[in-house]
This record gives sequence, C-alpha cells and structure tokens, in this order.
Amino acid sequence: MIETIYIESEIRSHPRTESILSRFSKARIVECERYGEVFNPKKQNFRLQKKKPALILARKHGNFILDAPKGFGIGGRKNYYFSHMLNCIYDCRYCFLQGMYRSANYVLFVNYEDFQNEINNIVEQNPDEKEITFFSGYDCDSLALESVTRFVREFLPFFQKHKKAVLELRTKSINVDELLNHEVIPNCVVAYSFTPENISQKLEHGVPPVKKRIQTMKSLAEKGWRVGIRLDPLIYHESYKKNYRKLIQEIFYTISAESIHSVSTGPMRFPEKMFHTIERLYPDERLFAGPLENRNGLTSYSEEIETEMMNFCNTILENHLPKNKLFSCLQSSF
Amino acid sequence: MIGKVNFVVALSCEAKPIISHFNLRKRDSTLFKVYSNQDHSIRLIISGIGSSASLKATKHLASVSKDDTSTTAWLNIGIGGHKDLPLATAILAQRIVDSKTKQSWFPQLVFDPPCLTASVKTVEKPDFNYPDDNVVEMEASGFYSAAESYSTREIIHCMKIISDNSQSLSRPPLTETMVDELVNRNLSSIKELVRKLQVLSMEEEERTSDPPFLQECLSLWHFTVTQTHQLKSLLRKWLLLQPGKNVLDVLLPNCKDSRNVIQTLDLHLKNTPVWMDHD
Ligand code: SF4
Repeated sequence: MIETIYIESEIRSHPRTESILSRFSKARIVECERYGEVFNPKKQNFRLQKKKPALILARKHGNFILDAPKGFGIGGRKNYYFSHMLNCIYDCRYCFLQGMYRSANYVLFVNYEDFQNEINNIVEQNPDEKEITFFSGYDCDSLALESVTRFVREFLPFFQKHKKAVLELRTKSINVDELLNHEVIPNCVVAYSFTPENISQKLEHGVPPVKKRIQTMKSLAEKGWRVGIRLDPLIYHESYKKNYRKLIQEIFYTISAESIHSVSTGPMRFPEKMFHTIERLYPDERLFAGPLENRNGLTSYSEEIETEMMNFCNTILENHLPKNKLFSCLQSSF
Repeated sequence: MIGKVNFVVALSCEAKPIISHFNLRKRDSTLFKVYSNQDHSIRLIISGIGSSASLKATKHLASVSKDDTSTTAWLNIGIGGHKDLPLATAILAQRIVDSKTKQSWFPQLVFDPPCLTASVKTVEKPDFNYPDDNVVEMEASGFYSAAESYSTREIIHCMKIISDNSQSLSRPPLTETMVDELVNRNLSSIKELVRKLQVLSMEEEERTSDPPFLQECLSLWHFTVTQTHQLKSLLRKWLLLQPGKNVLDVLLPNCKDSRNVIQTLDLHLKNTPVWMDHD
C-alpha cells in the first residue's frame, strides 16, 4: 500500500522508524532533512497525490498539544487536540484536510513520548480539573493506519495511567483488534463518524460501509468500551430527513443506548479560502454545488439549513438518549 | 483532451531517439532548438549542458508553449553516472539535490515508475567520483526549479540513464553514437513514462477546463475579471445540477447584462434541489 517512505535523517535510527521500516521492506526509502521539504512546497497537487500517498516519518519539535478549536467538545471544560499524524488513508470529499494541506502524503511524527510528556504536564498543571479531554483524530483518522503507526497500542497504556485525561479516538475504521485485545479503559471514547449510507457511498471514498462501522461499534460496546457517535458534518440533500432518520434508527437498533457515551452533531463549515481550494480541486463534486454561502469568513449552508438539520437530528436523538449526552459542534475556526 | 508533455534534453544526441520516435519536427532555432509533434502535445527543447542552461531552456519552452502550461507535464531526460549501477540502466529521480546550493526537490511518484528510482545530485562540473549513492549529472536542479514555476511536482520528472560508473572509468570517452544508443535502449521506459504523464496531464486539463457555455456567455455580455470567476463557478454548478441543459436557452435568454446573468444563475441554483444520492 505504501510504496515510498520519506524519512528525516535525524530519526533514521529511531526505534519506531526502524520498526516501521522492518514492516515495509520493499518500500522506496528517501531521506530528507525536514519533513516540510516534502510536505510543504507550494507546487503540489493534493488530488493527484491521493492516487499514491507516501509516508513521511518525522520528528515534531513543539506545539505537541493544542487548544481544541472553539465549539469543539463533548461536554468537558478543558479540551485539547493532538496530531501524531497528518492526513488520512480515506478520502472524504468534505474533509477539510484536502484544503488545509498541499500534500496528501501521510506525515507520522514518531516521537510519541513528547506528546505524552506534554499531556502529562497539562494534567499536572490542572489539578482541580476532574477531566481533561484530548482529541486525537483531528488531522487524521485515529485508527485507520494502526497497522503502521501502532498509535493505539502505544497510547492506551499511557492513558490507562492518567485517568483524568480522557482520550477521544475519532474514526471511521473497523480496524479495532488493538482495542478488542486490550483491557477496557474508562477514560477512552471511541467515536465513530457517520453520514447516511447513500451519502457515504458518494462522498466517503475508501471508508468501510456504514453497516460495518455500526457492527464494529457494537463489538466495542459489548466489550465495554465507551463509544461515541459523530454526525459531523451533516450533509444537506433533498432527502436528508429520511436518510438521517434511517441512519440514527439503524445505530440505536444495533447498539444499546446505555453504552453510548455521547453523540455530537455539527454543520459542514470551511474557512472561505479553504473551501475555494477544495472546490478547485474537485470542481466536478456535486456536494459543492449545494446551497452554500459565505458567512463571517466561513463557507457553510445557510443558518436556516444548519439549524433545521441540527434540530431535526437532535429531535430524533432525544428519543434515544438523554439531552446531557447530546452535543453540538459549532466549529468556527480550524 | 490530450495530455501535454514538454521534454528538456541537454544534448542533440540524447534527444535524437526521442525526436524520431515521437515524430517531432523543428519549430524554432533562434535561442534554442525547439521541436514538437503535429498537435504540439509533445514538445522538446535542447538546452545545452549545465543546470543554468537547463533552467533557461525550460523557461524558454514555457514561453513558446502558447497554451496554459500549468497542466503540462515536464520531463528532463539525460545521462548520468553512479558508483555501481550497470551502464544503460534508467532511473527516475526520487530526490534531486543541487550540490552547490544544497537545495532539494522531491518529485512525487503518483504512478508506478517504469524503471528504478534513485536520488540525483546535480553538479557544476563533470565528476567521476561517486562517494555516495546518488546518480550524478549536470541539469536536473536547474530544470526542476524552473519547471516548478509552471506545473506541480507530480508531473515534473527527471529520468537519467547511467552512462558511467566506477568500473567504466578506464573506458574511452563517450561518443554521440554511444549516447544515442543509451537513450534508444531505454525508449520503451521513456514511452511508458510519457503515457503515464499524458494521463495525469489530461486529468488536470479536464479539472481546470472552462465549463460549457462560458465562451458563449463571455461573447454575449461583458464580464469583469471577478465576474468571470463567479460565472465560471456558477456554470460549473449548472453542469452538475442541470446536466445536459442549455443554460442560454433555459435560463438566460432575457438577461440584459452580466450582473443580471450572475444574479439569475445564482438565484436559480440556490433553489435547485441537490439530489446527492441520485445521479
Ligand atoms: S475519515 Fe476523517 S480524516 Fe479521513 S478523510 Fe474522512 S473526514 Fe478526513
């Protein structure tokens, strides 16, 4: 799957680099000084790179843990996010990463310990907080590339020891062996993102079918893992009511409401400039021909559509879950 | 649509097999010798030796390619040396480093390469010491830095054919016939690479092409630059939401001016249902 691996010379003999390389004995190895030389140059085409993304192994030098954008959260007072990886093996047409980065190559920061030290510092600096949430799937899918990153394998034991730190793994992957084989830890939420199946087929390229994701959530919930549902972004279309009702019913038909930690809904929003980049990459995409408008520097559906969709989904969700498990993600910055 | 490929080659003897295979004809020889095929979808320029000559020739070829060069693929073909790769081996550059400035470029391999890949080092003077694993040559960095002003890294590539290695140093100097023969032996890889680049270039042409009815609208009404961008975007949406319908007949026959065209289209499209789940 991965044919080219770029490696920063500095981490050529890092144990995690060596372990990954031992699993890709046939890959083309190209050394670089800094990952930015490969990842950041202007003249790159995200759409073309999606045909054959390379892996870039790098060391992150700072800003390990960042404040979560305003409006991003699942109830906690303090929310942070961290990105051990940039980009994703899936190809969702609404994904903001395609407008955020010029390159579709996957960057993996191998110095996991630095992220963990920083989480540790934040927890120690906030002795009065009961819980602090750390979102891991902001710039990537938390689980999809587990066979390469071993991220879950390495971070679960860490969070097991830091009970005040809540880890959200946000994913569309059904690749959950690592979780199923691990003792359940209560301060971890495995959150699955969904759009209705017919929309998923059109927009979420390479993503496992909705049914399989629901079944995977079920097995995790049965094992005792806390699971979350993310209806974010909500995609507007003519039959959205019928399709979202069906999706929500299917989820709650399969998974018991008690095992659900939280559900969040969020509208589709992009910073204007980012939207133009994405629209230029995919001018043939019907999603972008929808009733979108520019408001306060963001491209989104009209306020009326956003509210109508959120209210519609929340009304159905309230039939299944108490209100304190429902959250709205009204992100206004990225 | 047909993908476009621009070749930049240092020497006539390196270019000869390519010119002959792709049926290229000389079009210009004022500053540089420039060749192209009948529909100008393949062009070739002879740059002369060295990184700076290659840079200038690449710029010159872009300036004489009258059409939009942002979707054109660029290919530098030449000979190079390596410590132990067998003679006549073709490699595609996975990294290019300029020995003087130390700047690096990383061509993005979004297709299966038709040959081996290797790192390439561009030097100022012929260098027959091969201290590392790089293929050593004299043009790639100049070519790449110039081509990057026009296209993107996925469709700018350098192919080098090994003409020297540490075992060949005692051999008599290379002749033009030997160079011609080296390129000729790798023509099938060159052809395959060109085919792959043409496909990518074509995809990019399609992505960036004007939507239907744009030219008709521009000839009927006067649009400012900003309005032209808006019009393009609206006509693209029209194509997606009203496929097969002639916007000029269906929606715009009574429009008086460009503002009116944009408002009419915008309003109509905002009220058009989006059947995401239907084709
Ligand atoms: S799964 Fe998430 S991160 Fe991956 S492409 Fe889809 S939206 Fe983007």
